Amino acid sequence: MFRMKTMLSATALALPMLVASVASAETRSFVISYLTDGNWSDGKGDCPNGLNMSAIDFYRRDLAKAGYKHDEIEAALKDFPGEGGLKQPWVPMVATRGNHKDNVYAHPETFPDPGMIEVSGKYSYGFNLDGKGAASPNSFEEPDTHEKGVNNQLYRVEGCVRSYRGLPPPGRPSLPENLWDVLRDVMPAWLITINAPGGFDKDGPVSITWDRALERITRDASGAVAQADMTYQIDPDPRSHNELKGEIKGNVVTGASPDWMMVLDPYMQPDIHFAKMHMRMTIAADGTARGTIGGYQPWSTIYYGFADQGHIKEYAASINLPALYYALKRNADYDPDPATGQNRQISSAYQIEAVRAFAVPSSNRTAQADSDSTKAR
Amino acid sequence: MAHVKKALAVVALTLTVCSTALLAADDSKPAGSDAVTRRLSQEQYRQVVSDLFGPSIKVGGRFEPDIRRDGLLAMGSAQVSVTASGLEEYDKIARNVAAQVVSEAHRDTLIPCTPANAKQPDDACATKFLSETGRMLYRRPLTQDELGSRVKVANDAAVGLKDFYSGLGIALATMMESPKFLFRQEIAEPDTDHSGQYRMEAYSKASQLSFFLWNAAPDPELLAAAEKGDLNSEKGLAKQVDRMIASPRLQGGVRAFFTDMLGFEEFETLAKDSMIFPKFNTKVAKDAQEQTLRTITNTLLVEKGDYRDIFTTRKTFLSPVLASVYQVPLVAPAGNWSPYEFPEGDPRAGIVSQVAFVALHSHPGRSSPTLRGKAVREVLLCQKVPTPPANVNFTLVQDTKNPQYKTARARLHAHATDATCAGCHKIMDPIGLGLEAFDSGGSLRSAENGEVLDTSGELDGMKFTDAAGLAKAVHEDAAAPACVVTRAASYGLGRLPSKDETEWVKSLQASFKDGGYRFPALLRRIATSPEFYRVSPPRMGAIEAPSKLASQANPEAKESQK
Repeated sequence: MFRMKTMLSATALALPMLVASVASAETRSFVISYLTDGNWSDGKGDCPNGLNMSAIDFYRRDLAKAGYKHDEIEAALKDFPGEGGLKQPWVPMVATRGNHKDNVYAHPETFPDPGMIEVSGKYSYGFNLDGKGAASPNSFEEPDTHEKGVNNQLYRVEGCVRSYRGLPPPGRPSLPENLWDVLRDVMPAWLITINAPGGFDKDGPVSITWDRALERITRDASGAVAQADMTYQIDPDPRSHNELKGEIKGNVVTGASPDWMMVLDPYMQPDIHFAKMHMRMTIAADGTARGTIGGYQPWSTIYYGFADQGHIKEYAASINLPALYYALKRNADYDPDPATGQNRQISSAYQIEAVRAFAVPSSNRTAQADSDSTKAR
Repeated sequence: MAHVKKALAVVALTLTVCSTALLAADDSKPAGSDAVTRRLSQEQYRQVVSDLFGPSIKVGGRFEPDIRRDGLLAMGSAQVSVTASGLEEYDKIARNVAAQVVSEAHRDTLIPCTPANAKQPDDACATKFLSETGRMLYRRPLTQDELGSRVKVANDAAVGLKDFYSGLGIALATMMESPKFLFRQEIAEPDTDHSGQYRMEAYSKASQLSFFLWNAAPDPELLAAAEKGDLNSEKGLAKQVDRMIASPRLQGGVRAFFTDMLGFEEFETLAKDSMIFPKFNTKVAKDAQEQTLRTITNTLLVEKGDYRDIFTTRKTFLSPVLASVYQVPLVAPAGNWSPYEFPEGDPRAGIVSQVAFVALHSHPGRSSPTLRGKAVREVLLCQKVPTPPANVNFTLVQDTKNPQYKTARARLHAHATDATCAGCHKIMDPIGLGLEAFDSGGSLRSAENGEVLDTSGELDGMKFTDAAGLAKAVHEDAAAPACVVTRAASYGLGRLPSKDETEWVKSLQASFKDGGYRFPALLRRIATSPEFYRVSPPRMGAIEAPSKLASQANPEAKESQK
């Protein structure tokens, strides 16, 4: 088709470093429309022990443990959550429920582990990160590929929190979906460019890059999905430039990288920094793509992504932050601290949805510089 | 609301005079046609406010809907009135604009004087502001009675409100909801150069010229030329026309003309099924119009090219979101638009293959070779296609999932086996089928329901195989330039040319052709033609020429017209 040829040649011109020398080489770029926590659920098998408490219930429990009397607690929670601001009587109580003086979100160990109901189901999105396959302890089975030995301890931690629980496909966990929906309007878009030396119709090796763009996404007419075929300039900032080796088989692209990082946004978490990153993406006939990325990442980054919003995220998401802290620490499964033996990273996975895009080199501008100049204005 | 009632009464009177004149028309008139009274369009209203008070004054509110007559809103504007609810809206808009003008934020720059006491009336300052502003709003000097009554309104309101500026704002609002502002009235006077004939008086002429070329009210220089009587001389008129054509403001006028001719107001109600055409969002709809207008003005005004080239040019402009529909990479500069040229061999050539045309003339969920063919004939070639009979069965055409008829061509072919449909379809469908490579959202496609599309077609004997071929066929069709001449003349006149003006239109068409189809030259030729300003003698209820009234108010002007 003529337009397709034009499009591809234009992309090729824009990305000379990615164009293979053979005639059949093909390069396709995508912009991420959605990225949400890879929390699988069929609505029953994932959380047989039930779901975690809602905020008002765990506040009652935790404040009692912290020594508050019943009447004090009920008086403070009388208008819970109110407008959620610092003037609400319950806010300072829950924020210092550890030792009555320090911020429990910054210092979660000031409060004893309240415990957390964790995922105990069979399935999870993700990858066999430790290479042990079915023998891997605490591993899952991938619901689509049925690969055994999938490591996704982040899902185990948060998958039975009501707002983070998955929905049967093609549903997405509600709060992660909401977070991304807000973020993508204000943060630079994420780009994936795949170069297939033998073309996309032939199985074989591919090279893959992940980058941030200088531009934000544009929504399509539905308002839910990114507009396809928009042009994005690649941010030359090396922090979010990743090169992966992979392969295409059928319409599925897989890739891996020992060290992968994308700058995100503190509203969710400052970045996603994977060790042993894996990706798997299925390209549909209409040009859209869906898939999963995963890897080990520092659990402290995840925790403080929640905790930097303190009580707001705790009550809005109904996720008990000291409990989250202990659960992340307990379930961390990679990168032991040589001194303490405590694992510093946790296996995790995210679901991605993408549409076709043009990714072109930028001038020397960076998203960071653009952001700074915006602030200056 | 006394002034609203009064204004309504004046509207009624004006329209009575207008319709009486229309009723009184007959074929025995020497030349020209009956004077028309046209309501300002929303864009013209906004332009006047912007020109007079600057872009920081916001115009908000609901305007009366325009109607399209004989292919143009400009002609419908001569056949509309103001409803009671519409007048209330004009009142709200006018009050809002006036309040902004006299506000503390703007009064120092927009009011040319300062009252002696801001809590009291100030006759001199009110007179200065209202006479200067009124001249630009009414497009002529105010008569002494008009000015006196507006100053009295300002003074009375200032006393009641204990605020000079509030009073001035009320007086300004009353002028902005007056029919003298909202309607352009053509006033006839004897043509001293052609005995027995009538022409527009100088201020009507100035308005005719200014709205035609700039889609705006006359600027001070044009009003001054009218006041001095310069517009009644060939040389004086030509001087003003040349000045206006050389101005960057001509682009606004040309854009307004093609916005009207191409029916872009229909974008306001255009809907696409977002599940089928997810790319067609509101930004795309807006930018698609802008793309076509930029293509046209670039071809006609910047490159000073052949009018017919708007149908074949590969040069256009793209915004980022529009580039996504065209599936081309585009990094836009700060202005958000970039020039772009479709490569040779690409099916996109000219405005007919652009998103605006193919999307506007399609159904919400599917393309329509019939609507597109009809639009080519009616909009671009000024040919009339009969309306379909009331009892047509469209079921087969609408059934896009019919496994037997996978493409629009197949469905239309089956539909046209009905003899009552075939006659009209054969003058539309062969044209529109050439655009089937573009779906209802304007995106390129090669197949429908898995079947490869055949985009061959025909326009009055000229066969083609794709949209670029159709573009060439329209380019070569003599009806296309003839059509734009008729449309431009009608647009300027606010009516179809009369039988008496047939030869004039033919001469315009001939000169357009002889001059290489240069659009600015066409505009100049129309704007400098005596026919453009010729009107029938007033029959009944004639309105006294404002220039005469103005000369009463300004004896110096009267002297200068001698």
